[in-house]
Amino acid sequence: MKKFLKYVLFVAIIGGAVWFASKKLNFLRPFKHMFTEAPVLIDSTPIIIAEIKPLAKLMTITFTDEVVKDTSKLGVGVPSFVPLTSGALLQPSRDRLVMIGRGRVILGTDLKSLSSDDIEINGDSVTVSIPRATILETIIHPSGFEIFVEKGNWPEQAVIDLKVKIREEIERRALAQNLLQLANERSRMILETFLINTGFRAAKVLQTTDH
Amino acid sequence: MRKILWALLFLSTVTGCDKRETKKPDRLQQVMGLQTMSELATAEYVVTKIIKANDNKTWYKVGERKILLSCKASIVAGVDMGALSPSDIRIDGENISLTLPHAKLLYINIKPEDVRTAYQDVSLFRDKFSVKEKDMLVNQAENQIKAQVPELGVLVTAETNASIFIDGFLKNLGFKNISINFSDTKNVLQ
Repeated sequence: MKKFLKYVLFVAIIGGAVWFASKKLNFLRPFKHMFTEAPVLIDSTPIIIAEIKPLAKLMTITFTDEVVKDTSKLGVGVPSFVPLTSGALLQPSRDRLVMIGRGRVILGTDLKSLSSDDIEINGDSVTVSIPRATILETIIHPSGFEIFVEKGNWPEQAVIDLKVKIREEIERRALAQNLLQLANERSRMILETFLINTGFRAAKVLQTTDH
Repeated sequence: MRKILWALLFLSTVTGCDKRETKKPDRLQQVMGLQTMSELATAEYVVTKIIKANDNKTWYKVGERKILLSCKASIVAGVDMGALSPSDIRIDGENISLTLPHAKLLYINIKPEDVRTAYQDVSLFRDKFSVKEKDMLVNQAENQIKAQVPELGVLVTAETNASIFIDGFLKNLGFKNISINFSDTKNVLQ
């Protein structure tokens, strides 16, 4: 018993000394992350330009949102013994994928079709007709997807489909907030200000549905 | 002596186990909601990139795994029309001179359907790359693309296209001599 207590005391003293040294002198630094997983880094590979497109998109509103979507399928794991309400003895294993997506919708007006036919000058007044605002882009960065639950093996297409559903839901919520009307008003305001600054006394911007 | 060595080994193992994932706070707190903007996007580059990764650096994991992903990204640049003030426009009859801010990167968009696994090789003792791990690799690719934006020339193209568009617009407003310049302020990458 005495020998055991001596041993415990000895280990405690050594442990305290090691702890003190690691905190104050940091001598355990090389060992500190011995069992930490090394991050997987990608190689530096070239970027190939596939296409160059000229644009004339006036971006006027950005809407940021967060959506949760999930999907499930029959799995190949061990079935559960919890009986279903129908009275079945076994509940089959289910794979689940729950994802949170944070993205932003950019709304505005595409001015690429603007031509001289859309501009009417009357002395020092001008009237310009522009298309109605639309959703120009919906952006969800790869870091904007958070996997909350990933149970089972998921084929790539199923994951893509879920991410697309998240994007569509963010777009739907943006439209439900009547943001297109706000985008229209903002486009008008920006262009009218520009036209006044170019010397016109009166400037009017109209939206058409003909473009 | 043996007991001391065992004690030290035990202690170094305990202090070496640091698998806690300390979640770093987001550098930019996402503001959920609405923001106004006034950028005119004038150039889009569609680029492709192969994402190559080899997970064999963790010494205690037996075997390695490799993956190749192909991705397509849209890089959009343009000018901030909201930064234009009356002092940036000089009018002299049918002549007009405009000073626009330099073009900047507006966004990079990698759509989920544009990322595909081209090849994956996982040894017997390792797990396949999870959805989360693949997203982290694509995130690194997006950062690499962002870092190379100045070399791609998208900002120069955006300024050229902005000049062409505004020149055409001003001609339709009746101006004959149009001069468009860009200010000397530094480009700001978003």
